[in-house]
Amino acid sequence: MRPYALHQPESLGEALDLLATYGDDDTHVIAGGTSMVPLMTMGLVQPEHVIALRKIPELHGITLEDDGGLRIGALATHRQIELAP
Amino acid sequence: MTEHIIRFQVNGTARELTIASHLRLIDLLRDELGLTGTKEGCSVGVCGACSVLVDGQLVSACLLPAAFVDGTHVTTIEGLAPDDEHLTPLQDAFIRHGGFQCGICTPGQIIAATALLAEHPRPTAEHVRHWMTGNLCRCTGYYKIVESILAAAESATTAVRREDVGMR
Repeated sequence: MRPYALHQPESLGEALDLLATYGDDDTHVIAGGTSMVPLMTMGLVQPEHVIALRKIPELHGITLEDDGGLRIGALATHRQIELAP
Repeated sequence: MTEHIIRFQVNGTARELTIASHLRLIDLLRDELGLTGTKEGCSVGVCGACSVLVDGQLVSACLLPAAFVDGTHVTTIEGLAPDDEHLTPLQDAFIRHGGFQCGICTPGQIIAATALLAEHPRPTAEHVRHWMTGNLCRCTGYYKIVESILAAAESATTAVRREDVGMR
């Protein structure tokens, strides 16, 4: 795998700032890694920067919105979705 | 490339390491920590050979950037047995019931089955087959694996002496 710079923002604002800074370069966003990590392992994707979302609280969890909509966070795992009530 | 300091527990031992950002958990376990019980099979999260537990959750170590285990407890096949004299009922059952042949997939099979029994101590055969779909085996035809897991689920003990299954 080609080395990359890993950024781990802890808020949405910080993540957006990082995207604004590095968005023009070869930058990818990573949640759980089930797609991105194999692509990088095989060399199909070779980013300079990877922005990991896992420390951003707002992107976790599965919630029912007031208007009846269901919000599935980018960090919700397939297993959490499977077990959600 | 960036470097990251991670602090985590592996099989009950606290570790602090400085790692490269692109290191995967499987690389950290095998190459940095010498825990070669965890095998790398497909490298794309399909075969389950690299299954480990992170805070009790079943994950594929080939899919996880090592930096992500900061602050967690990682359990590998080396960390299941309570001590050097004993095996878990699952390890014992895999030996007694022929739950493996070549053995490459076995650490992942046993880790996955450990997660299953932690969540469902008395699964049905159908439940076992469904749970274990993430762990491929090219030798056994799976019957013996399912049989082993069901036998372990019925075991009344929490640890089996190694010498009782012919291991020294």
